[in-house]
Amino acid sequence: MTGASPTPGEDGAAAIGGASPLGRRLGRAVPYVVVLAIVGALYVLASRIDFTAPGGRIGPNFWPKTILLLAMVTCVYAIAKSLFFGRGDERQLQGVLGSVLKEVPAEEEATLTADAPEPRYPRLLWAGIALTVAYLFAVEKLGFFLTTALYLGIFMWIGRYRRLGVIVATSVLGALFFVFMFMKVVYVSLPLGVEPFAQVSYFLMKLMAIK
Amino acid sequence: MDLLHQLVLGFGAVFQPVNLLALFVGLVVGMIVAVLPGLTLVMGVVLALPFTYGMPIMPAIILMTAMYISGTYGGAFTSILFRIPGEPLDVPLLWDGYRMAHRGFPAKALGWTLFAALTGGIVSTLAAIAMVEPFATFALKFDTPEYFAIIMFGLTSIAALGGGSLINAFISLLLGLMIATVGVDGIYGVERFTFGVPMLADGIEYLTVMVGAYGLGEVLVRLEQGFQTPPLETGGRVSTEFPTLREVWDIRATLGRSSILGIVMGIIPGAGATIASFVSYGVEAQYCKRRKELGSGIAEGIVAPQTASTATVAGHMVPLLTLGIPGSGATAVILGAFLLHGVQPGPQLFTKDPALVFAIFASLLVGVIGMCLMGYFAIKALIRVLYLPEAVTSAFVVLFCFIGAFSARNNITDLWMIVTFGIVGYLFEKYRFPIAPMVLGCILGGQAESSFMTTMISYQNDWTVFFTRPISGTVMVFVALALLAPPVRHLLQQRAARRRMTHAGTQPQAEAR
Repeated sequence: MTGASPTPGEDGAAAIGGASPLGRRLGRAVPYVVVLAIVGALYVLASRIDFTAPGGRIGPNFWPKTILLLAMVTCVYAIAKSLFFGRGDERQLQGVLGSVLKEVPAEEEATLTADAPEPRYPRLLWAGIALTVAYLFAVEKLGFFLTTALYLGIFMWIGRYRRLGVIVATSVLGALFFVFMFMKVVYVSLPLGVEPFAQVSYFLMKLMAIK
Repeated sequence: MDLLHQLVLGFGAVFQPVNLLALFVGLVVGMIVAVLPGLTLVMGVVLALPFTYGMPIMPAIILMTAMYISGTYGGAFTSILFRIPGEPLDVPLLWDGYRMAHRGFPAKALGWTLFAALTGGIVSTLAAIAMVEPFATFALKFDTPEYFAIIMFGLTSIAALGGGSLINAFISLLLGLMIATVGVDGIYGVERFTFGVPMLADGIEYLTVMVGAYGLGEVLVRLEQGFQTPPLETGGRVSTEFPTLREVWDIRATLGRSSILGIVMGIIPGAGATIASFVSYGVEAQYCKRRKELGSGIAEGIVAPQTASTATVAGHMVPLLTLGIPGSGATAVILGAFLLHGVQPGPQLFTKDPALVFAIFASLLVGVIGMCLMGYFAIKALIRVLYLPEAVTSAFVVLFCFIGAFSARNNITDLWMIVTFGIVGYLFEKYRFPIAPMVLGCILGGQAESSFMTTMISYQNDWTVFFTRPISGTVMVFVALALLAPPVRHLLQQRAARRRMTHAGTQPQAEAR
């Protein structure tokens, strides 16, 4: 898959594309500040693990604390770099593959970036996340078949596919395929749902001779 | 002789109907996954995992390795014909493969790809077969300091060899290692970061991290882009034309270089097919005879990336089977399949179950030939999958992700974990943190910690032991090199750029004078 990752040149600051240089620097630092806050909080938690290892050995919090400390140092470095030495992404320290890509002639590199910038649809993203969360709430109530058929159909609609006949057929047949494949062939116990929805699951199980 | 005998037995096992069917299905699905933009090779292998729960271990692993190897080849069709790389590893094929097709030789470009995949696959599998037993014998000498050093090498090299920011890769890796510490620790039985949630006491299943970040995360990224697939540019007759012996002879050096590079990149934990593909192209840009023509549609530009990327697959099998260390996302999933079937890969596997090891290698050889036959005869049918609407395939991908994680423990909480890591994966993509270091950190974190802690206990907290023992010390030097290589390269590149700028600045002045 390509095209999924943000295009070269875009980064955390993409969200604040037209901001001032200071705004861009702050924008670049935000992800690192968030990570720093999380690892900092975890470091405090790790320090509170109350256990004394016998015989002068290192305790169970040594390893996580070392990792968290390294993460904090890296984040502080990244924040300082973003704020005080805020340079474009092309000047960042990159891995070996990044360096190889830098050596690709300009014309060829253009091939990589030719499709940028891609349009964004944040509403679709939020709708997709909401639908996925709703699926998790509903699957134990409505049962696997009903929830899955609904999920597949609505997801396709959210994904801007508009052929209703195909959506309905694919959703129902897809959900049936999943039930058959996983309950009958792979023996996975999928959620059946609560009454009266469970009746649909029982009916399908009977139909497919699933015990 | 024993090796040959084992390999013959391996072929016998592969030609059992169940294993042959698994191989065939794996090859077909791997190719489809590679052709479809929006589905990555790792995602494909992840999604196949739940289907293997009910299978015996041999067809399960054969299915997944077949998917893996054909996944390195299938994306070449769309890169060459439509300028749509199915996988990141296919991007270098745009530069020469697509150009050769655009110049009116699509059949020739496809022929070169097929030949390169065949060569890379067979040469690397034979090399891996030759290497794997000495590797395993050598690995038997390893104690915990050596294991720790090797795991560190794998983890640092995946961060150092990537394409993005080294800092982001390092943070991603540390977060992965952190996730691995959640739960009851293996030495003292103390709960860490469980927040009173009973489910977290068992730790966070790396499968949920992987499925969430790679599967759902990727779907969310594509959904935000509105599931836009570029229009297909080419049509008409699609066929494959093999290169002549003379043409093959002319590029023998490229074939040799990229095969070796692919195997080496495969053996190094952390480097993968994508890196091998790009680096191999980069090497040709410096060393091949026609380097000035590279990028204009020449065979070397097609053969180098394709040979190297296919060659990594067998290379990856060496550390996986001999040390139990996965070198890439896909091999991490294959390791998961081993563990789910109660088999721990490592040097002992060669004494306990050599039949399985050699069946895997035999399946790779048969698989490479099978995928090339498929590429030759079924190319038209394969590229038809490009017409599938991405919204439809993505909806099914999410469902596969859910069922994959749910089937492992029959626990709905795992689905919440998937959604959480799906959002983390999306944020990682958005802010350009690579996912692979986090996933590998999560998988190898437990092993890294336990080998570190055991070493510390055995050697009375003497950390110098990692540097003073010959094998671990040597590997730690490689760790240091892996960490130092990017900054050194960066400095050299900056110096070269400055020199170019100075040169460019002085030239107009001289001309003006």
